[in-house]
Amino acid sequence: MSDEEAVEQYLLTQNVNYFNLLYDRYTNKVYAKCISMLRDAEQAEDATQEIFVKILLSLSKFNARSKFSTWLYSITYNFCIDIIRKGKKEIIVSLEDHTKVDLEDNGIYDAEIMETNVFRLKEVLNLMNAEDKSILLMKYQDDMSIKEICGVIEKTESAVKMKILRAKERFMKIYQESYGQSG
Amino acid sequence: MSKNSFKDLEDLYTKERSNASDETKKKLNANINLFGLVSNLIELYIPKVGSIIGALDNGPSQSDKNNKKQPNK
Repeated sequence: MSDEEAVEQYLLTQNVNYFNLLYDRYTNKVYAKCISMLRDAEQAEDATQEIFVKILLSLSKFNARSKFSTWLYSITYNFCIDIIRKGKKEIIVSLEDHTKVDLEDNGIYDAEIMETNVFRLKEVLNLMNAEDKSILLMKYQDDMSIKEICGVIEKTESAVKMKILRAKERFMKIYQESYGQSG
Repeated sequence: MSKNSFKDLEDLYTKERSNASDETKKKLNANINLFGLVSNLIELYIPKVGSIIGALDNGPSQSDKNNKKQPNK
């Protein structure tokens, strides 16, 4: 049964087994995103629970034109960014860079970033700001398309491309500062 | 297929999570039951509240008036 069918059946029958099916499929993925973003296991566990409660309460608003996973991850990232914003007035760099967007995501750094040693990746992500981190997770962990990322952060395609490029540059900068050469 | 450390990191966090997922599921199911109970209560009582408000708005119904006139019936 697809995710979208499970949502439909849950809404029709209110049978909790359909919701549990979705929970079992995605709980670890949601948790992994929460801990990547929040860097605290207990907080990530609480956030995971709250996100699923949120999902449960807004399932009727789910628009089947997008994938369930994209919708779920969108709620997850926005929820975590809200927690971070509330916790420490982090300066979130505006997505609307005022420079003229004339940059294409040409796959620069893709292989280097994706092949980073996993423990180093964890450390570098921990040093990045929430917004950069979330956009890299959407791109590399969730395999979201530019269009899907646009839907999550509610920005234009060019703004998203710019954002990805900047996040990759910052990733490489932090990596090189911490470990020297990439790899 | 090329290596993707982001997926490996996801797996790493999943392994570290251990049994916490089951605990969270239990809490979540408790929430679902609570929501179900609350929505059932709302479904049960909203029509009654509506009819009470309606009655207050329109005064006593015709059947109430009849009952007052013939209290033994």
